Amino acid sequence: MIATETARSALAGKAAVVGVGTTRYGKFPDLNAYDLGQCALREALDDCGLTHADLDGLIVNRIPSYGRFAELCGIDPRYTLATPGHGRFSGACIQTAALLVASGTVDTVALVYANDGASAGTTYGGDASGYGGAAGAYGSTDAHWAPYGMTSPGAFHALMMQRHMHLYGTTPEQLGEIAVTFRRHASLNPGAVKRQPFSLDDYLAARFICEPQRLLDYCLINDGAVAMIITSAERARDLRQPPVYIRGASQASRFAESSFPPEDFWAAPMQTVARDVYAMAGLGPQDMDGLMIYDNFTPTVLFTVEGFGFCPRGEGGRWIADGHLRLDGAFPANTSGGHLSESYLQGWGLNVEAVRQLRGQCAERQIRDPHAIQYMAASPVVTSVIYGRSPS
Amino acid sequence: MIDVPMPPDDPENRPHWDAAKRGVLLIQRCAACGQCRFPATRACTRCHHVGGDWIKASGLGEIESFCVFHKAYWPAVREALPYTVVQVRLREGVRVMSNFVAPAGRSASIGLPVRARFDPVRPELTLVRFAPLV
Repeated sequence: MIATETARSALAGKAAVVGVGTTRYGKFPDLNAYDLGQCALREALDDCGLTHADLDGLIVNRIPSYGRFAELCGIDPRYTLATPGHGRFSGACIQTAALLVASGTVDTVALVYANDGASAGTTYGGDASGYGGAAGAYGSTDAHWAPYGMTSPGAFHALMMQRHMHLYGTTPEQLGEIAVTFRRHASLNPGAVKRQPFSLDDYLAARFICEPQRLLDYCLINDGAVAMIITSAERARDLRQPPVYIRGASQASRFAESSFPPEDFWAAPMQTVARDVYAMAGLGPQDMDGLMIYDNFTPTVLFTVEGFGFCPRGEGGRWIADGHLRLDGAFPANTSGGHLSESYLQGWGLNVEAVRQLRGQCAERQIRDPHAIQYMAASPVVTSVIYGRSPS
Repeated sequence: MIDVPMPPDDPENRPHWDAAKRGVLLIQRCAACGQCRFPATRACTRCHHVGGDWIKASGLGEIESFCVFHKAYWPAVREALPYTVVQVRLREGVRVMSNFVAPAGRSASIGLPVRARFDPVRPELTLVRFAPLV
């Protein structure tokens, strides 16, 4: 179903992001997920001028124990939620926080994500029990296919991309434009892990990991943490930073047959979410001053711009090759460098980038005078959040 | 011979693996609504009826997509690189992940009709792979 008018107006513009915090990104074997998460949370609280005592909601993502984390922070929230380390949950957590605040259930929620994947040696393939299988998140039957050598979220997307190329004539050069563009953006971001720009020829020369995907179609693996503080629109006005309002937040899913790639590249749930978030925000795709697109692999970006209606189905490759996602394009995307080049933070880094862009804090990579920025993630769970400088 | 990872020792799917050793492709069919499913599940994902029958599949299908691994996620498969994984839609409607095996010069392509081929890779494991139908 599509969200009712009541549900839409219950959320739109009622909550705001008031604080964001991020650690450095890289490999920090001396810090565990709790250390990283606490560091990001302290920075987010300093950012808005609140303290741990102001938090009455806690949502954690990819942190092994919510209880240990709260204990270390010395907080006793009235609402606690822990979510698995799958990227689709960043948007879901932010939507949940907005709903909790909009309903008056809590005043102020801390959302904390921490990833020690680089230090932990996470490979995203081979081990179906962890983040590995096709899997962990993409499908639930991956161990069954291991004898055939099928494994990894990367291969799942390679299968999708092969079909997209077959159906629509999408080319490696068009995918390469995504990787090249986001790296160019990362070169303007002092916090990015990978800052050295590369050319389309460099992209094409990179080795295949799972054909048709090359090394530079894959996101990074690194350690790092992100925290966000979300509170009511009223309270947000009295804090240290200009509020960034949550104008809309929605999710839909396609779990049926999700052990295999979806034939529609998740277009159906994306269209549902698009209708919801644009109606909540009272805005359309053409009103977006910037896009933050979940980029675990370059094909996901392609599927997303098609699914959310930025271009017709099958036209994503050509549309992107026209330069729409560049900093000087019509829809500057992943200005931080995204998961491909800034840091693999499973959506959280992109949401923080949306906030910092709307505050005008992005220096060299700043989008000129943005009013609305949209986060989108395509997976068996599709999520989107529209952020704005004004509540309506 | 490549030392491929073993499937989980899962009683629910054991009939499939046992049948593969005899050159038979078994999939499950819901006893109530007739929908085929694979790998095996206790209940039908469409009508929720608990229980299913094993039926012999035609072994015929079509390649929906494929990808070529150049990275070994298990050390043991390194010498098989690069290898092709195919996503096959069987005539019975279910999908499987498998490998493409063909004479030199034939490569996987989307829409290609394929037929199951049974490859004993170890005494205790026979894989159901797919070769071009013609």
